[in-house]
This record gives sequence, structure tokens and C-alpha cells, in this order.
Amino acid sequence: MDKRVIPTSAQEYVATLLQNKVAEPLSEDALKELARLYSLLTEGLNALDAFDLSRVEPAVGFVMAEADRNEG
Amino acid sequence: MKAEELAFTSIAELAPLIQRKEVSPVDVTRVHLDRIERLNGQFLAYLTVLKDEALAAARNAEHAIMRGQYRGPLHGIPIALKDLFAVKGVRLTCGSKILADHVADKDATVVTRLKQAGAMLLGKLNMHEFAWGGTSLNPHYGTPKNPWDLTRLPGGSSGGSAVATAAGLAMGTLGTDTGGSVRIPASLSGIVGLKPTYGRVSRFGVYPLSSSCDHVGPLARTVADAAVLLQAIAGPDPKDSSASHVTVPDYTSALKEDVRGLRLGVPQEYFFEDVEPAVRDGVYAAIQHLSSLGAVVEEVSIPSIQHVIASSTAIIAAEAYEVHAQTLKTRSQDYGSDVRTRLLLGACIQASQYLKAQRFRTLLRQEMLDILGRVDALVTPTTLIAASKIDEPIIHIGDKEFVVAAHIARATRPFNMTGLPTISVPCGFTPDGLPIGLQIIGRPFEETTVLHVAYAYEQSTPWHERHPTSHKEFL
Repeated sequence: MDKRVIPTSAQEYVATLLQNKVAEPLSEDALKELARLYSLLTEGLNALDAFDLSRVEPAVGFVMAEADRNEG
Repeated sequence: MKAEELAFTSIAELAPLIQRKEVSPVDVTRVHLDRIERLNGQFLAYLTVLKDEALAAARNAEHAIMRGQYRGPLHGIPIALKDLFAVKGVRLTCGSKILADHVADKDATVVTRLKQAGAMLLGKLNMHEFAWGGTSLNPHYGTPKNPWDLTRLPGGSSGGSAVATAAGLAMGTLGTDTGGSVRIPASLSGIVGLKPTYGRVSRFGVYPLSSSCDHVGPLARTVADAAVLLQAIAGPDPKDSSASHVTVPDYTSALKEDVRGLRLGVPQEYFFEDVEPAVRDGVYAAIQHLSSLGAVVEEVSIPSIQHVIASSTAIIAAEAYEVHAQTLKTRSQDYGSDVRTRLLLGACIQASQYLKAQRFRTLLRQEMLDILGRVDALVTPTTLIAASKIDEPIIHIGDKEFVVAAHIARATRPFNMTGLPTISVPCGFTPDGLPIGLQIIGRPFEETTVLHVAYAYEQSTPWHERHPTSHKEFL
């Protein structure tokens, strides 16, 4: 993906989503930057579809498993 | 011992002198306070200096030691804390305008433990706002300066912690590491930074960035000092359910110089791509050196690691947004623009994306654990670049262009995702005189292994003996 191209849909998504989440409206430039970052991130996460993650447990559990481990 | 010499001696060297009553904790503290007063205006390492409190604690330490009540290697040692650790009655800014007047009403567990060990708190240290960045660029309090070159970044987010330690403004410090924030500034500032296993150190009273990636760790001038600091803060904590019950070993007993037969894995992908040539050469030389000491070095492969940045960004950003969601609704304009952007990126992440990233994280962790079943530790560069200029957000490596703020954490983030213990130890300098860091990664709760390898390397090389004292600003 060309990093300079920001899909309009991404910018619309970001603008809509953030409407009630910030004290002051974001500038056009800030929205564009967020849309660019979100598009890149989504592209990166979509690449994870190359793995079969359907049977893999989310890692949120490993942290508690470590805490519960007790060698004593 | 002269004042300058005292300021750059190690905790491990000074502690026996204090125990034998040959050096006074009050004198040690005064030396550091004098240096802070004289030099902090240039370095911007400290946000709050606890002069009276530190001197009072030093007097108490001295009286106790004179009465024969020596507590251990941190008794009478002045240290400092990144300004996201709560100290009761002391300002807690997190490097942000938003918390400029916030005063903590309790001590973080690690603060309680350091006080119990007899350490004196010199003050609170500058950082990347809310720890959400690897540079320590700070629009509110100014950017801390790298002591090896004041025009360059110290790295972050625990930038003030690294600067204070490297510049002799504290004997050791604590930082936090969510994507590399202890190891990056340690590497760029020429000191040791240790990120323990997830759950090894309590985070009670530590302002969170990303709950599943946050780690507390020490920054020190030597590996032995990092071991001493970790010893004081590690262990379970009823106030933090993520703090592990795994037995805390004696870390100083791990400090051995013999690495013969230890198996070290060098990942063949990712960590040596898009790396500055001087950094690559320094790290390869360090690996060769470990091999010459008798370590068995072999190539390993972590195929899925290429996807670590997207998945870790999704996790950290989503978790950080959850922490700041309410404040963004009322004071979004008071955040620095870079941190506001990163926080709002977290607001955009869907639950399905977050879970996908967490599933990938399990896969990556298992891949690394499988490799660590065959080797004792992994070795990589800590950062792929040396310290860059404060005013240059873009760097070039070969014919490629990189955003410093993103590229700086490329080699450290994988181990926040996997929770593995990781240390950065100085392994040389670029032709420009900038420090290079070697990263050593071990199995869960085997901090002893990474300390062992780091110590053996450190003790057989001269890098830890160099301090940035050649700059006239230090005299």
C-alpha cells in the first residue's frame, strides 16, 4: 500500500469514531494522520490472516498464568 | 574519594565502603545533589528534586549504619525514579501537563521496597509523556539530553532515568518498559537496562500505559548494580494480582564470568534488517566476543516476528486508550500532539483487531519459547540505530528513510509482547562516539541467565569503564 494514499473511508471512519471522544475537534491534518496510521495498522493486522489463529488462545491469559505459577 | 569519582562509582563498589563506615551516605547524597543543582539545567533529567528528603534519609541511614544496623547493598545509596512511580506526598506528573499539579497519596510497592532497603530518593525523572513514546521528546518539560552528545536524544520513554544514571546524577534509577522504554534509553545512553519477566516486579502505584505489556525495571551503570536493584524490587505483591509468586533467586550469585558451553541464539531475520552499519558491526563484534569466551553461538529463526509491530501497536494503543479515555473527553488539547495521536489511534481499534493481535501474541511467544528450549538465550541489537539528533525526526539507513520514533523500538517490542526477561548492556561506540547496546533475552523468570551473559560480556570488555566525562559540562 502506498503510504501517502489515505482511503477516504478510513478518514471518515476515524472522524466519525472520534466525534465524542475528544474535548476539542481534531484538525484536518490530525485526522488525516490518524487515518493514515489506522490504515497501516489495519493492513498489518490483516496480514495476520496468513496464520490459522482460530484455535490459538488470546495471550491475555499468559500474564495471569505467570502470576499464578508458584515454585514454592 | 573525590566527588567526581564518587559520582561515577558503582553501587556494588560503594556499598562495602558504606558498610565499613569509610564513606558517609550523607556525603554521597550531597555529591549527587550538588551535581543535580549544577548540571540538571543542561540535561533536564529531573522534574522534581527531593533535596531535603534525600538528606534527611541519608542522615537516618548514616545513624543506622553507625549503630551497626546495616541493611544491605542499597543502604545509603541515592537513587531516582521515573516520574510515574507514586511517592507519597510528592508530585507525580508522568511527564504531562495534565498531571502537573498531581501529588501522590501513596507509595508504589517498589518505592516502599527501595525505602526498606535503605535507599535515598533523590527525585523524580523526566520521561516521554505518559510513557507513550520511545524518544523522550517532551513538549511540556523539555527533552532530556543524551550525556554523550547534548544535541541527541537519550531514548525513552525512561529518558530522564537513563540520563541521570549515565551522567552521574544518580547511582541507579527505575524506569518502566512497555515497548522498550528501559532498554532503549539504556542502549542510547551507554548504560545497562533490565526489563524483567512480566510479573517479576509489582506495578502497584505505577501509572499504567498498557497493562499487558508494562514492566518495571532498573537502569544502572553496571550489570551488578542492575542485579542489586532488581533484588530489592522483585517478588509477589498482594496489591498487584499480576505480580508473580515464582521464587526470587539470588541475582548477584548469577554474576559469573564463565559462559563456556552456554548456547546463544542469533535470530536471522528482523533484528539485523534496516540496522545502522555501525550498530550492526558493534553487535556482531560483541557476539563474536561471547563466542571467543566459550559461548556456543548458533543461528535461529523466528518466522512470525515480521508481524510483531502491527500486533504490538494494536495491543498497546488499545490498552493505553482505555486508561486515558475519560481525560481525552475533557482535556484532549493538553496532551502533546504525538501522544494524543497515539492514544486516539487506540480509540479506533476494534475489539476483533485487538483479539487477533492477542492471538498472534500467543503464537509468537510459543515460537520464542520453542527456540529457548534449544538455546539458553537470544542475542540481538537493543536498538537498530544509535542516538539521533533531537531535531531530526527522520533518519536514513542506506537508501531507506525511517521515522525515528517508530524505528527506535523495533528490536525491543517483541519481548514486551512475549514477556521474556531482557537486558541491554553497552557493547561499543559508533565512530561518532555514540553508545551501542547488546540485547540478551532469556526464558521466563530466568533473569539469572541474562545477567550472567551480560556480566561475562561486561567484565571482559572496557565499555562500562567509559563515562561521558570528557564533556566540559560535567566538570
